[in-house]
Amino acid sequence: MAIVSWQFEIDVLSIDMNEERLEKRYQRERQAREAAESLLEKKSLELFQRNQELEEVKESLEKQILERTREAEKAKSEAWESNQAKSQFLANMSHATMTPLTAIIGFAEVLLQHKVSSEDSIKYLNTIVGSGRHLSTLLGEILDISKIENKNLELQPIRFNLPNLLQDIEQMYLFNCKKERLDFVMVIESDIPEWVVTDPTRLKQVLHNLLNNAIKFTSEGCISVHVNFQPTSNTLLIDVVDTGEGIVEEKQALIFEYFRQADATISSNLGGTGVGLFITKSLVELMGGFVELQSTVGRGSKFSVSIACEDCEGKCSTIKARRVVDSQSVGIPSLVGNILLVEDIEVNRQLITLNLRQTGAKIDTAVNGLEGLQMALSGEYDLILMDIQMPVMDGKEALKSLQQLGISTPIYALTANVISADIQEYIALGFSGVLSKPLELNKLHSVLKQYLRTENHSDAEKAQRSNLFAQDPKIKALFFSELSKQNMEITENIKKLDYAGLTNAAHIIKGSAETFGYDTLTKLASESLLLLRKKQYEQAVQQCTNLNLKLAEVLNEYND
Amino acid sequence: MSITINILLVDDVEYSRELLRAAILVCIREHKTEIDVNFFHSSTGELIPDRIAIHDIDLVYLDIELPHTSGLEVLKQIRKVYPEMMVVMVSGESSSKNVTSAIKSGANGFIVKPFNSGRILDTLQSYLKKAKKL
Repeated sequence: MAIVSWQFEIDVLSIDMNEERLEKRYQRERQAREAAESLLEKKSLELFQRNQELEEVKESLEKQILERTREAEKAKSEAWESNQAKSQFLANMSHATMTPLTAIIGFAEVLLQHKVSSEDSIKYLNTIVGSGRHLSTLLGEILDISKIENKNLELQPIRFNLPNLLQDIEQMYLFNCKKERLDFVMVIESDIPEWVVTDPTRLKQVLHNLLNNAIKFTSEGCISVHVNFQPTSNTLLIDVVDTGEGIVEEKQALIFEYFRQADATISSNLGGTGVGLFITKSLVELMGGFVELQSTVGRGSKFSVSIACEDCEGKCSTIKARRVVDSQSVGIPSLVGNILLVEDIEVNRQLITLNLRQTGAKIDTAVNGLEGLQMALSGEYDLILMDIQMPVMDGKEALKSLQQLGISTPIYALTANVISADIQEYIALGFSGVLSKPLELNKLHSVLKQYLRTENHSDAEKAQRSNLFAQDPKIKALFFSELSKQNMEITENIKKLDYAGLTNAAHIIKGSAETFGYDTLTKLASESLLLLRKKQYEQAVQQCTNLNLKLAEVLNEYND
Repeated sequence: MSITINILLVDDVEYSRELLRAAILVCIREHKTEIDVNFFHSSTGELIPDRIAIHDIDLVYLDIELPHTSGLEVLKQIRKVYPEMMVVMVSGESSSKNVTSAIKSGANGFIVKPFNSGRILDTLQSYLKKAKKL
């Protein structure tokens, strides 16, 4: 029994030990599982959070994509619209430029081909001139727009006499309105300053635009301009009022946008391009002011412009009595002098030569800068008119060369480039001034009058100028003693058939006979030289004999 | 106040030299330019830089069509020693080749036969302008 109980005890003990081990293992495993579970929970939480974040990112990305797409679509439609508008503008412009061009070509062809009465031809020529000027204005406007769009438009503020500018405008529009059977009145308040600083060219452009517009849209009645000044803010206030058809309210804002005239058909009816008011507004804003419009359909419009001026000085309490212009006829001055025209394009050369010749001046022409340079070196010119863009040597290069060689002749640049920055560049380079093409006759004439002489007191002076050397007794004596020496040389060289000697003699005679007015000698000497150079010796000797005979004749006259 | 300038005339033809000399004098007289002039002559283009040094020359009138050494060659020689010397080229013709080479080689003037007073006066006046600056 004792054994059994022992055994039993052992069994119990072993069971006890077993249980304890199992319990421990269980505990261990439980802990391990708990740790794993908590890790799992932690990880899945993290995963969840990541997922959440990703979800958010995805959503915001989607939102952004939507936004971007919308923006892109908007930009696309804007680009399309602006492209449409530009195309429309280009179409308008092509149409607007084609109309005057057609007139120019058409009337010119009529004048070329048919026998036209002088009365009609004057009418046609006026149309051609008018169309040309219109075209030139149009192109100026296109240039302005591109400068405004690129923010390249710069003002050139200078100090100028305001009443004079206004009176010039007044005179011009008294005339223009009379032509259209409209009344015109300009009221200038007495307290406007006499001198102001702003850009006078642009100010005029603004006034021209507003006034031409007013005339265009007014079939009867009156155009009036009212000029006022606000001294506290140094602001010039100008109202342009017409009794025209007026503009409906919805379209009042639109007319300041370019290529958007209130009525699309207007441009074809009235020949405008719808850019004038856009330019006007941009210019006025650039000058530190604004444009306002009040208009009633059927009664008329009032454009009010304010412009900030600087350094206003003086008061023009006495505005000179209004002058009335009877006509704008261009008086052609009678002038004496020599002009060198350097221009590569033949049509321009002919046209300008024609205009210059009408004044009585003598014109020489050259077709590029180099030829102009060569002629300027050998001739005596009162004025050189120099195109800028030319082949071989351009106008700027020619000017530089003439400057290097110390030529003092005044040189005017001729240019189709009306950008004022360029004009300033030309002046800085040393051009005496700039004339823009197409030439305005009155501007050309005023330049010519500045450098050429008027007919009255010119003859004596001219004679003195050209014969400065010929009249000098010492030079004359030198010339004749050389002539007699060459006379003997030629006789000798003809005998010896010394062609080099003959060339030399002819060269010397050619070089100075012209100065003394012996044109025949110069001519014979030149011809001899040419034959000698061509090695046509038989004829050359004959010509040298002629030259020598003439030489002897001249010498005999002199000795008598 | 009048200034005195030493002028060197380089031309192989004596008559041409004399004519230019007379023409310069007429210009000075007629335009009351306050200049006294001493003239020096050379009938060839040889050793011109040396002559400039010896006679203390201020202004050179240099014929382009010289025998042996051409005027343009002489101009280059002068420029090597006297970069600022005023040199006026003289020629029977203003051919484009002559004019462009003269400009390229740094000529300060270019007068063409037959001489005209305006161009000669220009050369004198640009000399005076240049002299004032220095």
